[in-house]
Amino acid sequence: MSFAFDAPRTKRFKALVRQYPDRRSLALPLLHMAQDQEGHISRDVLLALAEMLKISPAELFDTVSFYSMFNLEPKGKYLLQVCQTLSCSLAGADLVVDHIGAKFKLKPGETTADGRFTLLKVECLGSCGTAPVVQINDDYYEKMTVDKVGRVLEKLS
Amino acid sequence: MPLLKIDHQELEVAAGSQVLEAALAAGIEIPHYCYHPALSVVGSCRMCIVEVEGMPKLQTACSTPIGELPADRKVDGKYDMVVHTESEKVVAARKLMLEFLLLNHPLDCPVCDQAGECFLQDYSFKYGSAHSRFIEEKRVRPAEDLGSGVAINHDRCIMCTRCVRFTREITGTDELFVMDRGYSNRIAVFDGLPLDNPLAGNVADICPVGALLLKDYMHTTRVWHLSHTESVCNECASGCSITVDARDNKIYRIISRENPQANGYFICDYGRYSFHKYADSPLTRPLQRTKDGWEMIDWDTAYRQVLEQVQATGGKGAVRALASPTFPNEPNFVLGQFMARLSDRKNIALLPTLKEDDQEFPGGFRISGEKGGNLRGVQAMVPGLAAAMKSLMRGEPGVLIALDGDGRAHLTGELKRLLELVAFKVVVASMPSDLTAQADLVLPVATPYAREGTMTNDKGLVQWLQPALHPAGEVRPDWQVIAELGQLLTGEGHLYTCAGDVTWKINQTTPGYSQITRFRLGRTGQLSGSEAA
Ligand code: SF4
Ligand code: SF4
Ligand code: FES
Repeated sequence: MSFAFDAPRTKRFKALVRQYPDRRSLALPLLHMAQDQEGHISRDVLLALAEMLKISPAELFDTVSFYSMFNLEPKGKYLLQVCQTLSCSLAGADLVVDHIGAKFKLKPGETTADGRFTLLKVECLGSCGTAPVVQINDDYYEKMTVDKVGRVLEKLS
Repeated sequence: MPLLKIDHQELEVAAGSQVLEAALAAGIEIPHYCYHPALSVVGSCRMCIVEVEGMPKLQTACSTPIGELPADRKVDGKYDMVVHTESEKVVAARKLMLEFLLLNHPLDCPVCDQAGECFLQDYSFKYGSAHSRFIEEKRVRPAEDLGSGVAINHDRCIMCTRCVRFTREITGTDELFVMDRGYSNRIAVFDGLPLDNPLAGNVADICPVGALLLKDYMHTTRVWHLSHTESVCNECASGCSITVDARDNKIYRIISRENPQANGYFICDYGRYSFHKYADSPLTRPLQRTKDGWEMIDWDTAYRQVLEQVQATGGKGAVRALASPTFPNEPNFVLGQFMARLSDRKNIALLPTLKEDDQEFPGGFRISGEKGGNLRGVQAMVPGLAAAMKSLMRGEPGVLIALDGDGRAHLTGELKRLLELVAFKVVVASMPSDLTAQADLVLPVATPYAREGTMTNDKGLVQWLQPALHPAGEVRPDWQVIAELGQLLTGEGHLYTCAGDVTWKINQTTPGYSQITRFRLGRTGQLSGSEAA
């Protein structure tokens, strides 16, 4: 299974190449685009991107593994990331995690059998003022309570 | 030039040089891990911290450049920078850094191969604390094989990234990287792309701790039992400086020895592991071919045979010789001398040796494709030495005296024809080889790492070959065997007392070698003169 960008992303790649001083500095934008398209960064993605960036797969993986927002394993359609840092914890993030866990029979780090939900506990999402926060894919759900998260999940499932 | 005061010493240094570089050049040791003179500076280990007057915080000596201050701002009226490497603040900070580096370290020096030459051990002993305040459970990870004979013990790694920068900057192969971050980071190779380059072994040499290890050497001995012999690799014409580590007349490993005129800081893996080739069953007694194989004889019998054969097969004028670029200058020189007396050097040619393409690396290291490591030396020792063997094909079938190629002879069509043509073949060799297989008489000499003499690399650098082993059995030094043959055949000629004696004769008679003496060569060698070319 090899990886290639789809047509719109290929166009975007070509535009980006002109904007960056050299290929290797394009690493992060390309990784985001690839994760967008594939859902996670597989070995094939790494090999293909390394070639596009003219660096070794080792050097690219160095970067990828540094950032926690790149998924190396397939994730569910909805990625539920519950902040577990201080403010969210004090404001009841554990209750939210427990609720989601009980609802889908999941432990943090796991994905439901139907591949729809992945539950993760993550470090500070940078929104302490609206704790507790749950990030579902690219959106923040703020001041979460068990009730509120229940309603959000209802809508998704 | 800026004037630097470092502790109690004043140093004039080039503007722009870093404090650590300047200190090391002046012989002042500032503890460091991530800095390596051949690699880019990352300033990540924080071991080299020093106090710089006028700067509020401690600075990393490896990445603090020294500039010139305007006259009115000089410290104490004359210094451009004043550095303290042992102040209370520095000593305290170093102690903390070491405690930090040892948080998860297994403290397993008693079973670690690096013990005895480990900078973590040395600095901990000198600057560290005997106690750690870390009471949590240590992080434990299994050791891994990284490829190319290199293994990693993650628990001992201090994350200096020397190894990563080595594969990025020196070999350009880029196999190693830092995986994950923070508490879980570790040195890794990409799944399915292991360490795979001919310089890989160097990562174990430059790893300042016992994390990267050569599987070949692992758990075989303790470093304090080894004797360290400074010598030269002769596996190719790059002529790298090496240290040969041996114990009880057995080599345990070869490591690189710094030499800016030759290899810089590194060696290749062919050279590093080459001693294995010469370890198994070297020749120990003169051998004579009989109807049913080989018979061991003594030296007198062997020499008598040579003389008889010369008389029986065309006389002294028909004696041919092959000089060998895998042998030092000394035996080749003596061979050239007596062949000059026998036949005005018409009957001596060069033993062909294997040739490949040069391998060059982005960091500047080069493995020469010329596998006869002393080619340039032999050519200087025997003036007019022809690579072609045509002149040897003429005349009556006589006796051939050949220095062996130590397994690197190239049996060209021409060489094969010569071997068929001559009536009696004497091969002076250390190991059984393609050439000895065809010999009538084999005269045993020391193996490459038991030899003494000079080698000239392809840049004309002459280095002293120091024997790391005592030859076994009745083996004689190569220069001596050739000199004895010479005396036997010419009835005259000088019998030398040691290799250095021959070197002296070379010094006296060979163009370009008038500066070369045993003692002038020192540890890193001397360039032979340009008139040699
Ligand atoms: S393995 Fe050795 S050289 Fe590599 S980062 Fe760790 S301590 Fe440094
Ligand atoms: S480059 Fe040549 S001389 Fe240097 S270590 Fe390798 S084989 Fe030996
Ligand atoms: S040697 Fe200076 S920070 Fe490592």
